[in-house]
Amino acid sequence: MVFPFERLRDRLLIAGVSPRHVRRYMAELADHFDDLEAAAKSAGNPRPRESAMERLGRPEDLARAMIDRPELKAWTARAPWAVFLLGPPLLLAVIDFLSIVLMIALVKTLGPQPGEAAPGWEVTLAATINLLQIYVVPLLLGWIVSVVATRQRIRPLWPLIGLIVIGIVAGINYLHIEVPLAPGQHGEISFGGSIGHDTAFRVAINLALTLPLYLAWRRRQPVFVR
Amino acid sequence: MPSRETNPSFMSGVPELLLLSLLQDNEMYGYELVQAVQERTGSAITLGEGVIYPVLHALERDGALAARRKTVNGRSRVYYKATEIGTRRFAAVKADWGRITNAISIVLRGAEHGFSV
Repeated sequence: MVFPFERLRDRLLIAGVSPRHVRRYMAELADHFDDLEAAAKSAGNPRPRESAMERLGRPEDLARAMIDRPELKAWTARAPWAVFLLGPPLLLAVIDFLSIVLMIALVKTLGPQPGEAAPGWEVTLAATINLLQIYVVPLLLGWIVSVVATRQRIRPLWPLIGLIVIGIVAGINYLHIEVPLAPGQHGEISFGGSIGHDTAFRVAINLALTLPLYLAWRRRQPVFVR
Repeated sequence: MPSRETNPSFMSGVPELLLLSLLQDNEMYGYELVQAVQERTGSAITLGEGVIYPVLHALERDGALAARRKTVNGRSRVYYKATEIGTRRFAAVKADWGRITNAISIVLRGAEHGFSV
């Protein structure tokens, strides 16, 4: 059975209704439609499909009933500035914080003791966190913004602002973990913002790897209005 | 077959009242709820069938209803039931409704006896 209100989904997403509510609404309407059609058939109605559609409601009414409830709107519709402007830097800070806490917890519980060299796996872990923070985290955040924006059919303005913010903030953001490689050395965790000779390069890389991806992804989506 | 016309005027808040009333002791899904409203009101109140879902979603979002997906006879559906918040809200809405209908009854009785405003 093909549910006759497929375009309703796009209409609701474009209007800013939360995808969670849209998904459930569509599933509930489809179930309701099936029940109405089955009831019409068992009552001997010669046009059960039409009867079911009439009883379920006009697509315009079904859309309005949902759109007119602001409490069912997604945060991307209610406060896009918070989601796309403040969200990514906040998420970046949380990732930095968790990385630091993880490293401190590991060193405190598993060593090395002062004056000792760090075990090999700890050296690898520190190097991995450093690399992830520089090369992977910005792409991950950009990907999250792109997914949210395309899934919710959002106009490109705020997602593009978000991606530019991610590119710049992640380029400036600095987290570096060093563990002692030999006895007598000390470890160090440094973090913050730094504007050096490689900042512009990192910002350019971040933007080059996220903006085209989002725009290409967006072009593949059938409907974009909001 | 009952008329498909809904009651657009005077219906503000009525779907919420009816749904909260039906879901006080029973866990029900959308189609069941619409059927129950029609049966219990003798089709005097006919809700737009698809548009009850936004009301249910809003009530759930406010914590007045709890929703869960349940499979019965091979069909998975979202079932709703009133929470404690929903029970309190139902009592408040019901009291408001009682006051309104009482006030309207007084006005109508007055009109029957020829009083003028």
